[in-house]
Amino acid sequence: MKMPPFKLYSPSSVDEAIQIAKSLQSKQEDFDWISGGTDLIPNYKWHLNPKKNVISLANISQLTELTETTIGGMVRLQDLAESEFTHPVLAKSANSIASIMIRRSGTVGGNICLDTRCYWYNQTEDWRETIDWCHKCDCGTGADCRVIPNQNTLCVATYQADLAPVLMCMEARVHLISTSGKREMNLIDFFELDGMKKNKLLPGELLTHITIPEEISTWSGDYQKLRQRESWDFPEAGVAALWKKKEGKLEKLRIATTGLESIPGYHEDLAMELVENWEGEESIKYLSEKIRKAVKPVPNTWYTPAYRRKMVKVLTKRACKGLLSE
Amino acid sequence: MHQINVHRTFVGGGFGGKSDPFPHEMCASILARKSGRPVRITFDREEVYWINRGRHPSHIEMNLHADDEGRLCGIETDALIDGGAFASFGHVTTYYNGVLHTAPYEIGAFHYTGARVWTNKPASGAMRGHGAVNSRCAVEVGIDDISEQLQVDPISFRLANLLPPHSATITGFRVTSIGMRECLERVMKESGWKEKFRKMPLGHGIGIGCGFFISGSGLPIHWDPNKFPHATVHLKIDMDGGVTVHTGAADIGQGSDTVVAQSVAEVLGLPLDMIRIKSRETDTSPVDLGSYSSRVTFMNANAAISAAMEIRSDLLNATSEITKAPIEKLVIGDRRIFRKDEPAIGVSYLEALHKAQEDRGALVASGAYRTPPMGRAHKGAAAGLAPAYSFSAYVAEVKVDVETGQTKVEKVWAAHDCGKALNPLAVKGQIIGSCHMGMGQVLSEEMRYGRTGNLMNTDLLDYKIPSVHEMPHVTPIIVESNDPEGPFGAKEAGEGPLLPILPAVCNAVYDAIGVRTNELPITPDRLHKNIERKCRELKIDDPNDLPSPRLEHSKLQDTLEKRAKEHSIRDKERRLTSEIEPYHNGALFGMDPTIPPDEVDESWEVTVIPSEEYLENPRLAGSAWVHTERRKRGI
Repeated sequence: MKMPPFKLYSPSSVDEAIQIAKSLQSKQEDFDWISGGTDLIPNYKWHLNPKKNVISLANISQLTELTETTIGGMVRLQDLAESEFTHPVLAKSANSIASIMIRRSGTVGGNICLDTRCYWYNQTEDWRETIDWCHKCDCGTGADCRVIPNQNTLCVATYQADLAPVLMCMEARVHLISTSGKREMNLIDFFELDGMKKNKLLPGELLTHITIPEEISTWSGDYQKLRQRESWDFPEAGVAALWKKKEGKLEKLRIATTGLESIPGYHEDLAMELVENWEGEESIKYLSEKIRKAVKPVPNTWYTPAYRRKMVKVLTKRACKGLLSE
Repeated sequence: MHQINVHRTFVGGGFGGKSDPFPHEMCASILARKSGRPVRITFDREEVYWINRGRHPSHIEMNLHADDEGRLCGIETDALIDGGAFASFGHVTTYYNGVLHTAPYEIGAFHYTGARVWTNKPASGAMRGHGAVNSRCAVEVGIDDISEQLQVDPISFRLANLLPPHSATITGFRVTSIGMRECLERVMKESGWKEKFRKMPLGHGIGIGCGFFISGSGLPIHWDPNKFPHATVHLKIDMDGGVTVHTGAADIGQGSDTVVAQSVAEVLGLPLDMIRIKSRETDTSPVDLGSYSSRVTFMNANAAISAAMEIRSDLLNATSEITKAPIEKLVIGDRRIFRKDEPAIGVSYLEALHKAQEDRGALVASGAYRTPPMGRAHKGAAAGLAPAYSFSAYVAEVKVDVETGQTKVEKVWAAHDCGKALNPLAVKGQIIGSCHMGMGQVLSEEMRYGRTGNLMNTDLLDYKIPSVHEMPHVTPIIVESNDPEGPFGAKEAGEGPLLPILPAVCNAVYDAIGVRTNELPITPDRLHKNIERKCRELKIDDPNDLPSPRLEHSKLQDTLEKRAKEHSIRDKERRLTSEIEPYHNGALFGMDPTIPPDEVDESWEVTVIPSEEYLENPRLAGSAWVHTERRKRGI
């Protein structure tokens, strides 16, 4: 299992990185960005869509800014978890990612743009050959999806990253840069329902940083995560809840889920419904059941979809527990 | 054999899966010979899953019977085991699945049907606790269940049904030392069992499990115990007094080199730094059968002791010649040989050695170990025979989240009877390591196959070996029963400690939430399904309202406690007396302890192929005999 060779570029500024990307694009050569490499390198070793060129962002100091409202794409996950500027819920979710060694290397940008995962995709090349490949890495064969056969339009690989649901609840905005200039959008709109496309990043586009509204520091909340082991494992389900109270009265609530579909889920209507009809514990129960019905996991991770859906209900209940006590 | 010299490098981790002679080993050797260059074959993680022999997945159906006096009057076991595509050690495993649960309890009757079936999966073979682990888990969980039905404490039930030391099991195994009772008593005390069992709130539980394992297989792999010894050790001492020990025992991290050195040093009264072990080259070492079946300490150390005793007698003879003291009065101390009654009279070790060397040069000795004749004549009687057996009892304390089904093992008290701990640190290491390995099997590790027959989790991210976060606090307790035939009384500690952790956790989960899981590993999704079923049965909406199991002792409890006390005295007497009366399994049921039960009762016969009658209405294993091929798809 040898990693296919690639050419590595190490620009020291964003402009330089963009220029390299531009020149590669003009030569019709494909490339990947690499930040921490904890996800990309294992995939390369398994020959999962490896590219000929890799542009490393490790030397770009512009991308490591970390304040209460700005988080650079190259901020290491462990730094985020330990920083005094980080909101406690965000710190909790960052601290639960993989293991400490991976957190020291993995980055915020990499976690948000994490490749989707699937039992039929995250396997060695020989393994995938025995199933005649799959839709996500079809090696030019136009292979069908192996999870839900007889449809080769949509990839159902699961998005298993922890930061996105919390940041969505914070109404964070992502800032992107490419040769055609800068743009920004809400993180909620950043994802695109397809396990292959995953998000709205265009070829050659780069996530520079995310911004969080200032008022979030007064919000409270929780992040709950389901997995077999307390270390290493990707979330099989995750629920983030953030809320704001005024004089003991629930004013705003936001809820997002991860690890259940190809993109994280943001449940705006359900949260709003709860705030309007707040009746304590019963409302939380009602909301949990609604969220269970709203998510549609598929059988491509360690736990069965039925179990994961049932657990979303439990996780939601636990994430919202703070609503009752305060 | 004389044409090949094997250099063994120091490698760690045996666990049984590498005991087969593998094609790649032959390929590498032949390629190296042909090309005249070093050859290395490496596997990636996925290939390791295909090559390495794992434990047999098995379906075990077991009926345990108890009578109104709380005696275990019968065990019926039916095991269907998944062998994969090749034979490996499978035949032995099939026997082990049955015969290794006939002790430590005295049982009234025993029936076992086993079948190993070929499937299109990677071959299964020997793995730590070979063949005994799965059926042991079934027995111990069964005993927990039967105690629940009898309304007695499961530890009392076990204590009242143990075989005494120097006895024979129902299948004719000769059991010498037994530390089972002490193991049970120690874990009961240390864990605070009486205050916790069936008394903790919902979600918190405590459970007991026991183990029994062979200390070296009685039948060697060269199949001829009468012609060749099990183990051989050569010693050589030259002028400076340093001892070179040649042994073929492979140190795979278990410390076999240390134990052989310790044995020689102890007999000759020398410090360890004067002993050199040469165990890495087949040109100079005697033939060794390998590091398997927990045999190395027992057999190699015994061989080392016998070689050292030969040298010792040479040294004593020489001393006697110099000092004119009678040999029986001489003892060896720290590098000095002297009269026991008059320590001033004696010579230094080197003086004695030089005297002994006068006419012959370096002292050379060869020692060997062979098991005494054991066992009965029926087919399969040789499976599970061993010169000694180890015993263990673990108590596990767990926390179960009733809403998610997640189980966390918090504490384990692990008592293991290893005869005599020659290297206590290594014994403790084996116990703690076994807990980790067993925790994986009982809670998370599993090879999952998809609908296409592909193994879905061929990497260490998805094959869930417990991490340091899952590891409980383990209190290792060493129990020493001093085996009469073991080296300085020692028995094995490598495989036996694995067995009890599985049932201990299963029983603790039941104690915590009152739900039994009959499928391993107890992953949260499996357990959650069972919790839901239980809630439906009891018409409960919220699993937090589940009743926690409670125990009210029946009258039988007093009977058991009384019998346990009597047996405790009986065991002590049998351990101390020098004239040991035979004790055959069945005495508890009123049979003559001095005669094997099959000689008393003619109906006790051994059949190897299931009877026609049985096959008319076969259970799991029987169905394998009359199986017609089926193909089906689906996950």
